[in-house]
Amino acid sequence: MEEQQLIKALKEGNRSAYQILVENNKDMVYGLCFSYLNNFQDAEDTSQEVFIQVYRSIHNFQEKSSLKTWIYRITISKCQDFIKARNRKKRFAFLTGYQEVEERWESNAQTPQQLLENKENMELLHRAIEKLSENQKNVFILNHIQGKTNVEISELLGMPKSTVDSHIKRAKDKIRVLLKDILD
Amino acid sequence: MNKEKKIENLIKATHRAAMPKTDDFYYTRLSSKLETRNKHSLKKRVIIGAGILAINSLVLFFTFNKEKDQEHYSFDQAAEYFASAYEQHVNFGLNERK
Repeated sequence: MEEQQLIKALKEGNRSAYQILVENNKDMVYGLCFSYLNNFQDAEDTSQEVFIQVYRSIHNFQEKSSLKTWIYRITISKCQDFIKARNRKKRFAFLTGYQEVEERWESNAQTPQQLLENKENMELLHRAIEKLSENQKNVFILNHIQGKTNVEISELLGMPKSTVDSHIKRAKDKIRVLLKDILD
Repeated sequence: MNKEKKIENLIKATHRAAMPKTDDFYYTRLSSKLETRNKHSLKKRVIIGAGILAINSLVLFFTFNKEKDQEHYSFDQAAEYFASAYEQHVNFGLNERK
């Protein structure tokens, strides 16, 4: 289904269109939530909140950006809200996030050892990412974990490309310093 | 491998580390959650609507009662006024005859 047709059907409240929207975007949303939250359960809860928000707000979508970009922005916003709420509650679920079943990881790893190394690497990196500022965290996750280009990040976050470049550079420098401390 | 190299590889490796994917029942759970939210949302609207109706009814009730009292007060006041006016008229008439 073309995006225009999909948007029209969604605004009419068509549940089949909503299912198509979820199927097309669930892995992207879930993956992005996991990048921020480092916990499978929290990532699922938050990604569901994203789609509920999309369902309720689709009639307000003015089509100034693509549907995917709009969903991305909602996802980032929901993740940030969740992190703020989690910090307030001082939950430490992210420390146990990596004890989930391995079947939910689909990676390029060929051996269990490579899979384990990937998981350990991601855990180390996420601990460092937690310490970045909000803007640095956003751009680093989108660039390094989601594989977005600086131009795409600029459009997603609504900031100039030069600002994105600057945040990425500072984030990488800070990550290097933080990982040195963690690896010590 | 020195530490700096290890860190660089770690940062680069994030591109290759795949993100976890949802399972086959993700949409089922989402639909169920959406229906529950919609149901709660309807219940909330009904409760709030009933509350507003109750408050409006109380306001109307007290306003009506106050207006009824004011009617009595106005009627009494009017009666007093006419009695006083009549007395003055009578006195005036008496004075004129004098």
